[in-house]
Amino acid sequence: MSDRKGLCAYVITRHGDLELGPPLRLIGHRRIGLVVAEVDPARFEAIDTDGPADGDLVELARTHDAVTREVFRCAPVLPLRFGTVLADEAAAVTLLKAAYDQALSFLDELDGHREWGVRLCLAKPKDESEEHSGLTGTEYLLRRRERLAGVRRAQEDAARAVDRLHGRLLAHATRSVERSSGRHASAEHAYLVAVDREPLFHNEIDRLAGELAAGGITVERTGPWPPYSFVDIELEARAHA
Amino acid sequence: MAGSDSLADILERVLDKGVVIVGDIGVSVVDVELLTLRIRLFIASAQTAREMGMDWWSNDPYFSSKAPRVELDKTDELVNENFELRSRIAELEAALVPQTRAEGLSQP
Repeated sequence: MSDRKGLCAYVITRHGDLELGPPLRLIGHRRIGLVVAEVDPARFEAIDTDGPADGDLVELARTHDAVTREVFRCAPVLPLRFGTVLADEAAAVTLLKAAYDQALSFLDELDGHREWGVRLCLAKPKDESEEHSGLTGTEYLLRRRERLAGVRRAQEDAARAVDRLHGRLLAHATRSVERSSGRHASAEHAYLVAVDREPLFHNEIDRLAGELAAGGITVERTGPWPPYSFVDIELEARAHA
Repeated sequence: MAGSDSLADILERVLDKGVVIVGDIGVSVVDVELLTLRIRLFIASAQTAREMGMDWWSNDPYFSSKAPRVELDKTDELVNENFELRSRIAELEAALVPQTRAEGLSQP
């Protein structure tokens, strides 16, 4: 790759009891700090957006998540957008100065919370390894259409179940946001839950999960996550304020 | 549940979320919209490949058994349709030119 150097910025966090091992370091300013690692910017620029899926992209994304979680173990974090590369330490300090009040305020809000994802999945359809041979084209298409209609009905049931569950979980969460990935039967909700409310939150899920299982609907829970879904923020930083 | 977060879940959060820095302090940011789209396409094609018995990524170090399997919902209509149509085509072609098609399909 190239000889250029940049600082990949992962999260903004509160200055304090962080112990970071190389290649990570904290660039601090008053009560906040930026967690960075030296990187060759070409690694990000070279991600091929036209060709087949890039292994380098996955490695960089996993690193981003791993670093975020590492810091999150010790302090509240504002995860930065993947691929945020700063020119140098001066740029990092400029950013921290410019964003200081906003960043501190968000960190205080997020402190003591973790993100959880909840989505509903339909049971896998019955074995679809039907005989394709011997079917006329029309029979094949009719059978497929019936199957899709059944799937649609099941999705409507799942949507109603999502609403029920969501209503109950909101009572135990500080914030929530819908995340639809299109991959699953229902939308996923992300919940920002105070750590001391987690037992109640999870009990609620377990209770409803039991009821839904009878109808072939499973509740999937992911997490705990750093608050990725709750930092929909822009921070402005100009070189000459 | 902790530890079972799939690769897809991680990618969707990391690539789709996060604080955005605006300004001219020498920030460069990868074009994330394009990346997010590419990841979704990759996941869809991975599902199709697996169902056809071509899990080409299981030997790839980035998708090794250390990484949880990508979970995909079989009721995704487009993915199902893709798989079914490809299966049908494969069968019809196999009937026409058995030798060549069999070699093509068994490639890792």
